[in-house]
Amino acid sequence: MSASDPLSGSTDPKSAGASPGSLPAPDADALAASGRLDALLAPDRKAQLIKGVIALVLAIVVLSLPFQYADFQLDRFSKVIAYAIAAMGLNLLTGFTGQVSVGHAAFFGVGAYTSAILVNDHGWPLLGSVVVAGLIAMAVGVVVGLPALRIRGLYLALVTLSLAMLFPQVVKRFDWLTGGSEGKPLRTEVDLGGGVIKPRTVRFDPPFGDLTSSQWTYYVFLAIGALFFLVAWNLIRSRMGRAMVAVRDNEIAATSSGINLARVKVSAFGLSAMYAGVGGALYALNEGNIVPDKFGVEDSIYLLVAVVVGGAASLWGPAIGAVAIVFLADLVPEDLQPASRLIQGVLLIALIIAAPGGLTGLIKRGQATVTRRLRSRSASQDTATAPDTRQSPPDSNEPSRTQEETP
Amino acid sequence: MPMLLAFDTAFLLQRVFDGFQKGAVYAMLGLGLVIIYRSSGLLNFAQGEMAMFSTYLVWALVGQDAGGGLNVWLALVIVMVVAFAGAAAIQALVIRPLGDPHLNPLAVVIVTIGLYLAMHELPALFWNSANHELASPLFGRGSIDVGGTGLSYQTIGTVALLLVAAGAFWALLRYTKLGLALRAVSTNAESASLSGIAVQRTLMLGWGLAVSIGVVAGVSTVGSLNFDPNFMLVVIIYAFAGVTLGGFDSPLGAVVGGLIVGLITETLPYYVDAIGGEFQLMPAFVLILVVLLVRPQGLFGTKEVNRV
Repeated sequence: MSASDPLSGSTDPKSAGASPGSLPAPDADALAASGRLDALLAPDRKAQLIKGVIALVLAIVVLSLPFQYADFQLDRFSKVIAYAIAAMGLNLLTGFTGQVSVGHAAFFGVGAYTSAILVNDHGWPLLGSVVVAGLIAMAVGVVVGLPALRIRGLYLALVTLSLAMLFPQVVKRFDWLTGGSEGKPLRTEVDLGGGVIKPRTVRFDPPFGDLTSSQWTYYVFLAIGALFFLVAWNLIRSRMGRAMVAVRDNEIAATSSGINLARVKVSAFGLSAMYAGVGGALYALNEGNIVPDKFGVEDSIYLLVAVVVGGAASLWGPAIGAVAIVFLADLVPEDLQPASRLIQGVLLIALIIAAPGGLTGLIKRGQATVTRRLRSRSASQDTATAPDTRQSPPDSNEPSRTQEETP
Repeated sequence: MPMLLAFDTAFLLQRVFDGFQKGAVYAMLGLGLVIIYRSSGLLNFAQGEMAMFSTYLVWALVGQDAGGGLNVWLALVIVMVVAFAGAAAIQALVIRPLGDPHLNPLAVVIVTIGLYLAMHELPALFWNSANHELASPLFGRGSIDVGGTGLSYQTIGTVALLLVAAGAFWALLRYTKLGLALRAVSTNAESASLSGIAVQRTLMLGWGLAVSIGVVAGVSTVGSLNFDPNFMLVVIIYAFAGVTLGGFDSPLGAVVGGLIVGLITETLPYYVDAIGGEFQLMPAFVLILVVLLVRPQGLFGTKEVNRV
């Protein structure tokens, strides 16, 4: 038996379970006898436990943020959530379906402006505007997705890049609706009592308790973010999710195994745009004022960066990436500020060449290395205590025979 | 720009001249895009920003006041050589590790867009990024009178440069060993390699050529006008529109497509109110979309065949 066997056996419990049937019986008995089958499976449970603990700690940290930071910081955390939702959407399209979009800020902007127009001009409830923003962005996404049926790869990147450059111009063109380059405020009229009605920048007021509106906004955004995460989580494990990955990996093979390419691509586009639209709407509601230049190429690139930095085709990646894009600019020292985008560009190139899987990819790789190290160490300990079981299979039959006789 | 009430021939003529001036720039950038597409098989989104940075280098060499620094043509040639080396280095360092661009479009997009971000910031790092102007533009500041309209030396010069660049490129592909190698590599890199062509070195040369043509495009764009690091941001989309129209792998297409896009974007917005003012990108966007949908190979390109 080679040293790599324990690894492959344990990472895939099915094959470990199947091995007693497929391998010659004595060998399997040897495994069972030395108690290594259990040993092989145990680290997985341990890993799950560790994962659970990490998730719990993360959840506690995330939920307690509102009580540790001032309101203006919380507004930035809320912005992170808005970007994370949009990045999650882009990830469904780019990471899982393999369609590169450099124009997602346009969908983000469609959502933001829909929400702003509904709330400011028509007095809609905030969450209602988010729903409509998502739906309208989805419709736009489907329309943009139709050409993507014929335009692939780099050409699609070109089309979406020009879409990203076009969007701010569209907003400025229809300034009677969008406020043009002046920006669009999000205000609601508030009855101050005594018949005095004053416009006020929108915010989420907590229906109960004594939370500030920033704290409440954060929780509302967090809940929406969690909901969309769950949807994505379930989606990629569904038939649709597998079809998306199949399309990404090989369109021709996917088609020949019965996948409706057009339906998968257009749905992925629509869904992805809906995420971006909802993210944009939340962004607008959080900022209270939006300007067209926040939805241009640069912001599309930021979303793409969030996906790539976090790790394309990883569910957690976009969240990590969104944190990175909102706070990365702060990390750059004051005197290097002019070069911050230069640094970003260089980092980006270095990252894609050195770690194509992004940060989550790096973590996974690190994890694999560590477990491999740990395993090989425990394996070598095994070898030290019972060298025969590893080196010479014929000898290893002896303990198994004794075990067979004992019952 | 206000909508014209009466038809004005001199105005139209002016627009057409401007169209040729802009179109020639798009065509030169487009030639670079075509060279890179044909050799490496990818779309270089950073082409415009590379040209922008090179223009700053030329500006720095020429100096602040006329006669102070180098002759502008000498500066242009020096920067073209520098850009050639720089682009070859970029190909070797960051493009080569990506492998086949069509297998992993995301990586290609990320790297070229990373270059775009980085290049865009470079001038601000070295120089005050406020508005600058070339102390001595390539073609002086005068113009000749054609039908009551000024046809500037810059327009004539830019179109002439385009013709020279396109002619030189055609001759290079047609008559030199390097051109043969470039064509071989773009047709089939593996066979080219088997017949003794140093594929990677040829690709480096391709990148070098492409970016040094971009230097000419950048310097011709700014002419005698003020410029800042943003002057190429949108231009690259027009250049892409031209290349899409002409066909991604056709040098002739890049020239014709670039000129057509220049004429469209400089005349149409003044006569069609719906796309006037700040909406100039619309025609370019529609053009890219329609061509890719209806005739993906463009006017002069070769049709892509998918093998299973």
